[in-house]
Amino acid sequence: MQLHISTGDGSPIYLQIANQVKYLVASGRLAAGDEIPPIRVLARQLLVNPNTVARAYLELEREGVVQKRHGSGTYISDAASPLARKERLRIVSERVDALLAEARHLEVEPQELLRLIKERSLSIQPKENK
Amino acid sequence: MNTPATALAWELWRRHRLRLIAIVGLVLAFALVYPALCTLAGFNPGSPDALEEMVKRAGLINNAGQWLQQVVQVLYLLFLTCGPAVGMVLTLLFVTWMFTFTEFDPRNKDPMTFPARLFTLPVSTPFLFGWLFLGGMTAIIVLYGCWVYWVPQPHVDIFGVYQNCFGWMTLLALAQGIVWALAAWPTTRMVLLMALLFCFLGSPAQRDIFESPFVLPPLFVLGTALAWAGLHKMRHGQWQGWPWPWPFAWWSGRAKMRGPKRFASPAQAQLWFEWRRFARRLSFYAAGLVLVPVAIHLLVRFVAGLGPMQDDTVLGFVVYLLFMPPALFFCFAVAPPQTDLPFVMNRPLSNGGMMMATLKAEGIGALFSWLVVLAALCAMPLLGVFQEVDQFSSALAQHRAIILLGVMILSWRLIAVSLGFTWSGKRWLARMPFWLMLMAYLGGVTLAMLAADDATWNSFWRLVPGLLVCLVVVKFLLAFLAFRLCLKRGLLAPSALQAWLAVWALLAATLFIPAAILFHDQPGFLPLSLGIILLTPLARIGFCPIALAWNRHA
Amino acid sequence: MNPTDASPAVEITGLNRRFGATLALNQVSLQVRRGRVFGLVGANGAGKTTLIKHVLGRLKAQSGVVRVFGLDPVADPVAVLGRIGYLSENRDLPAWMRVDELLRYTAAFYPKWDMAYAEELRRQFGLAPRAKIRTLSRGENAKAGLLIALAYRPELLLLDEPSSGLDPVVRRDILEAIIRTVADEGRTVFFSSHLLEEVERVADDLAMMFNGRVVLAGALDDVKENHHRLVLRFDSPQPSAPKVPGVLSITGGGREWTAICNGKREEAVAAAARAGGRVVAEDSPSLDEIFVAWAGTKTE
Repeated sequence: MQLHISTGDGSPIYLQIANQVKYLVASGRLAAGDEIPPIRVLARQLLVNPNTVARAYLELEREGVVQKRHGSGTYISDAASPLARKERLRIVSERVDALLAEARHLEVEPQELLRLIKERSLSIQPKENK
Repeated sequence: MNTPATALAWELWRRHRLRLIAIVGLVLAFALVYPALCTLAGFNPGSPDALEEMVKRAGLINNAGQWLQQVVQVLYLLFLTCGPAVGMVLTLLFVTWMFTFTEFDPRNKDPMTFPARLFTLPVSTPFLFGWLFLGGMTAIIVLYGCWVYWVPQPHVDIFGVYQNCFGWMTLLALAQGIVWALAAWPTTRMVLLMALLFCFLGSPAQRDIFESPFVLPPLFVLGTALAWAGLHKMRHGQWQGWPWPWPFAWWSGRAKMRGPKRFASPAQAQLWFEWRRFARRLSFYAAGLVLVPVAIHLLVRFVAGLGPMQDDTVLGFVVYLLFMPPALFFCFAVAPPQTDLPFVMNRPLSNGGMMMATLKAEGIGALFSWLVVLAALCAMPLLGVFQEVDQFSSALAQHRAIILLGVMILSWRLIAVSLGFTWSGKRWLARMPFWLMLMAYLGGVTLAMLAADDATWNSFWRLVPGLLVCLVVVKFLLAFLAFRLCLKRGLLAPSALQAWLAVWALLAATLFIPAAILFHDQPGFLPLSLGIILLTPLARIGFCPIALAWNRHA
Repeated sequence: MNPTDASPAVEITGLNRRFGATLALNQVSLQVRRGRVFGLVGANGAGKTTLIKHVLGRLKAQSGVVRVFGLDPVADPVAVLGRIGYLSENRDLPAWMRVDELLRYTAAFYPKWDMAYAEELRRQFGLAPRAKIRTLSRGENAKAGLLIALAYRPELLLLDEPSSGLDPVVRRDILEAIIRTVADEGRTVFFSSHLLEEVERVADDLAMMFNGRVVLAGALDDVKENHHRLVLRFDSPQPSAPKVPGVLSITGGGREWTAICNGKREEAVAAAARAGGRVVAEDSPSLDEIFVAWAGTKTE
């Protein structure tokens, strides 16, 4: 499991870990039933305090992304898939917000934007059909 | 400070300020006081028979007065004959060391490193060399001139070439050459320096050899060339080690560490530490200072074909052997390396534990050094004719054993008592052993003046027992207070205290029993036994853990 | 090691220290809880090393109380030092010793010394056993010091500016050692540093010192949550930094200024509004920015 932590970017480390795990699940790199490393191991790998990792795992467990099995470690929960969709929508909606802000700044109307999206998706499709 | 030359001069002055003032003071003291002392003793240093006269007087002393008075008078005569010579030699040696311009390097913990910062300054190497070389020569000539013209010195042949100014200049050139050219080989450098020192000061060869034009001038040129080259090479990083893998280094690197696989206790580990850090080096220096002269003499005698050592040379050598360990221990006592103290003070080791380990290691070091000296003394008959020395010491024959024992314990004692001062971490306290030595010296001089006249000596002698009893009482009181404080604060374990008291009793007994056997019927026995009790260190050892705690918990 | 032992590993109350005329420590109080990593940050000369020396017993408290595991380090140095693993800033290892001699010598003082673990660490750090300490580079020297501080698994790992002047590889080794220590249950780490990214990564609790005073102390998460970075936009361009009471520092130019405040967010927003500015963006500052903000305030 490859995670990347950056300090000083404003968001708490435990949140970065939790979000990245959720992203990995959402993009399919972590499937339901995969084991994620124990807290100590991940802490040493990332060079982060174990309590921070523990907090991230607690957050993930609370949200149902992972579950602890007695004595044998932490695994991605089977119930991850519906959350995956929720996560995917959340990520894309963030990108949509950014796009909308940019468009507003450049004075492009939302109608114009929708037309642009449809046009671009059409132009991409033929390439996929090949 | 406008020029590099004045800057260097200021640096030299600033570093050795107090010592230079002390040298000037010493020269003045000898210039002013020594002639007065000589006239008082009826001794004319200028006459060519001065030495024989002194020896005759020493011989006469044997029969008159009591033993302590005799000893004091002999020592006083020794001082009158050799004092100026010793002073001159020591001050000139110091100036020589000063102009090798080495200092202590905290990174390598090497006490004789040429400061690399001089090479990063915009000064050329010829300038550095010129300044140090010419400055050194000038200083030597000036100091030599002061000693020779202001202080009337008897002609004493104990030291080899010391009364030859060009000889001193050659010594400086060679010393600079060895120190700078061999900067990468500290042990070799030390051995060569000791050999150099011995050749110049304690040489068994005849004086005329040094006056021949084929000896000193080539050596002077050699020294200058070596110094010049050494400084250049040092600046550009050459001559800083063997360019090929040295097989000896491979061997010593592969050799397993001797000693137990795992130390049995912290005390044992600390003893090993103190031995390796300090006492082993002390023993090596003592061994070196004994073996190098012996080796040189054997070389000169059997290879160069010169005859066996002559009488006065033998006497000088015996005197050197007996006084070298105390002098060496005193040098170590006054300036022990303090660099590893923070590391040790962070270990879970009590102050008492640190002290006991150091005392034990120093004891072992002292024992080892003296064993080497005794071996050399026993080997003396092989080296030369022993007649005059036998004559001279026959008067002291019975006392030989106790004198030897006394000097041995005295030399160990020098380190042990200064421990508290140096461990306190305060610079002014670390200088205390030096001041105490000075006071003892002045006390000795006063004693000598009293010993000159029988009447004053007898009245003084009546006071002595009472005085000594008071001092012994004060000593035990101070010791009691110190040890009580140590136990109360937990600085010293009760078992360690018991061990130390046992050792103290053993040391005192070792000195006391032979003295009792030899002197029990003599009148000076009581003062002698009290003196023995005073001499073995007790109270200052008690203050040692307290001083260490003062440093450790500032 | 009793996991339910709630008493702090190090407790300092009202500590003052004067060196001649300078007041190096001014009423310093802090608690290092067991099983946590405590980061002490401060500028050079703020008093971090002085404080650590008090914990070691190398300085005696002139006024105030210092207790390590409930013991006084000055009165009982052997008991306290036996439970502390210390890496000094000064790298005061004896230059004449070899690495294997250093291990054997130090092993004698700590009953819990693990020879196998020490050997594993030595191999991991790449230290040749017969190398003299004098010949080690700065990084290897730091590693040797760290090795002898870790090998007996001390209850308190005390590090004084462990990463100063070291390359990133050695810094990673040190961070890993810190994390490994605290991941083994119950052991505590107390380290001082001015490399704030490292403190942010591994510290649980934080204390910030300036000029001998502790200006900030608490859990790292709480400290970060309490500080806010507000981007203020003023109606008219400000010729100099606007005075907004309640903020620690304010930087910027023209119309837009960035202010960092500690906990008093509402007051700061109100004060900014009074000065003619409004908040256009808000997020959490990094520890670096918090440190610089506090450094800029006048602490007497």
